[in-house]
Amino acid sequence: MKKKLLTFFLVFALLFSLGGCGTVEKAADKPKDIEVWVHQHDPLIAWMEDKAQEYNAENKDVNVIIRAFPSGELPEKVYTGVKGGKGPAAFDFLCLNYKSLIDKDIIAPVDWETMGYASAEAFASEWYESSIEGVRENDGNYYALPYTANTWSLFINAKHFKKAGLDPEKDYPKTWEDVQLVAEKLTIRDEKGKLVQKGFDLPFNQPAHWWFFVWGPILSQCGGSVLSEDGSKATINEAPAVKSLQILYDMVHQYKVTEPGTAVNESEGFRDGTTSMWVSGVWSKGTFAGREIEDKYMAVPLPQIDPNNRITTLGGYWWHVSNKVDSNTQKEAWKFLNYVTSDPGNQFEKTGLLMPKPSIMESQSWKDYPYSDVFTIDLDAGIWPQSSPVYPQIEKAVAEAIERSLVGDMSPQKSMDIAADQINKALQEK
Amino acid sequence: MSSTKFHKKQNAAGALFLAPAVLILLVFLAYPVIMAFITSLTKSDLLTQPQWVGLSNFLSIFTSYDFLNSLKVTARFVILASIPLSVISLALAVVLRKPFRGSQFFKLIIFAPVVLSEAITAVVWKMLLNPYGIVNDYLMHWGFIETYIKWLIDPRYALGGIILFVLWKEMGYFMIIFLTGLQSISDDYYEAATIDGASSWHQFFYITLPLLKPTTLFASIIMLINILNTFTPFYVMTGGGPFNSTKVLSMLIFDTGFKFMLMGKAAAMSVIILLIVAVLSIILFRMGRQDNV
Repeated sequence: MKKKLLTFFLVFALLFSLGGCGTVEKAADKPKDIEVWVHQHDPLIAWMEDKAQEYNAENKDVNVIIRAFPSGELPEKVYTGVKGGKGPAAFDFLCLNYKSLIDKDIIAPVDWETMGYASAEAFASEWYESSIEGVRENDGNYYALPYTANTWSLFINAKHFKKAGLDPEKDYPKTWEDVQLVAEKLTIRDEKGKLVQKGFDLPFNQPAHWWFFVWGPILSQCGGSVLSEDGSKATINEAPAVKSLQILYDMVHQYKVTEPGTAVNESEGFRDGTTSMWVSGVWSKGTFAGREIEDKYMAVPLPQIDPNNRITTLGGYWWHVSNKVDSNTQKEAWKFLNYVTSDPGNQFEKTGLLMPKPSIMESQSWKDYPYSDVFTIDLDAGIWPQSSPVYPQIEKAVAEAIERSLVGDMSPQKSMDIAADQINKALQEK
Repeated sequence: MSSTKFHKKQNAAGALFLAPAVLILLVFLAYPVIMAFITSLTKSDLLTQPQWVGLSNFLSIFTSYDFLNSLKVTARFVILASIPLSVISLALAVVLRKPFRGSQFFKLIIFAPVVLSEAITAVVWKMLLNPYGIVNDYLMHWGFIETYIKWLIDPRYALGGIILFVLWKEMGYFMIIFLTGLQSISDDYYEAATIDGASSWHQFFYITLPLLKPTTLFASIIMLINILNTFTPFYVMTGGGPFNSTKVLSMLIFDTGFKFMLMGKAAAMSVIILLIVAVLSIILFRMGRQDNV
């Protein structure tokens, strides 16, 4: 009898646990969840959550949920989420990853009709042409909202300049040669040789894509590129590209203005006043609040190879809607994205992220923004970096090439030759 | 009830008891392993339809510089980490076997890193091992070094830096395993040896080590699996650099699968690791069995 009871109980427990694995909810009354995944940038997260709250209050049938991930991890999260059926409805990706998304066919064309536009042309006319053309494919459709087009400029610690007997208003570097010389003057070591103030620092510990916005402009200014124009082969080991790496190589090994690996986070070095010059984006001001650098920084135009032929790189995150969610969810996602991209001035004021719409220049938040005149100079000279379906492999090859030369001592030519081999192999494997 | 009927009922009850565990093993162990095997024979980027490519992933891996480098780095890591880890854990277990004043406190201190978050402690160690960090400061202060060691950015030292972290993190766990084994050795052996005039070293080599073999075998297999699967400190502290000097197989698999979206290739690498672990485990089992014969 006892055994029968025990067996019965065991079977019952097994069936109960299996039966309890799923519950049926009444879906009819629940607002539709729209998950929006976004890269980690604290002012942006706070602003997006506010916007989501406002939107949800006005649209009771929808519940927009914002989830943030470190920018370096966002691609993996999105891909595995999409594969597992738990991906976002909308997400922002670094512009460099754009061609990977097109290649994998996981993004939907912009639904300008749902967003309230009469035509695709009406939609596109609200954006800077150079920005919106970058997201148009051969089928004539647009596949992203390029909601950020940040310039990267040179940020300097004015106090360090004055202490070194330099006038920050006049003596800031205009060329990369100037950067080497000025940084050397600003670099300070103690009696044991320990580097206590870096004249200039490089993003050794930032996500690898930072190299495309710090080294990338130098590459373009030298007339070089990572890939050929049709994207079919690597050109990173040709003379102009090698020259661009040589400039950074000299900064580290000849002028010794920085030491790789001595910072956990180089951005922090500028914020806490131990780095004198740092290339960063227009959004940086938001990260200076309450820090040592807050009242000491200046932004100056990005140094050039040829000041008469200015080139800078635009860095940005673009909104995409997943084509792996149902069409209703896609429509709701487009509506929400239209909502958050409708006021470029507000986005800029709250996040420091520049939306490439002409109306931004007229907004009071832009006009009042410190050094907006400087950023305008760099914005005018801005070009998007080249994207590729094998961008992750390119990013790895570039980061390793720079590491070999700057952290190690390999000649830039040899290092770039290795990178070119790696990139060509990745293109062949594609 | 006849005895056959009784045994049948017993078997059925036993099967019922085992069913949940078997189900879990099938779903969470067997299915992923089988899928990994199948994926390793395809060209798959996780998002588009996989294409059958047979063994070409494996051929591509064995001719790949990255894979051969990672294999070398992993082998170096396994050897350089497991030997000191075994020695230190065993030594601690031997010292702390007999209770003394404060022994419980020492056990707690040594075991504490095991339960701490690996990611967070790796970040802390990254700061400690900064060229201008506290480790170098003390080493310079005590005169052990004259210039700053670039722990995690010099390829000569980067793996060593991670091994230091792994030793600190894992020695408590294996100390407990060895303690358990030591406690199963009867004191009678040591008493008899003491009466016969055997020194502590003799007792250790001729009593403790031989009788600890089953525990040592178990610890070795667990250590091998744990060390081969180590990922977080490499990801957090060095990212596989500098110059891929810390790019172990687990990191290469992660990059290949999740960064480059070459799932087929990543699955093939996982299969290779599985085979390596299986072969090494069989060797260890055979060695343990030979000694018992």
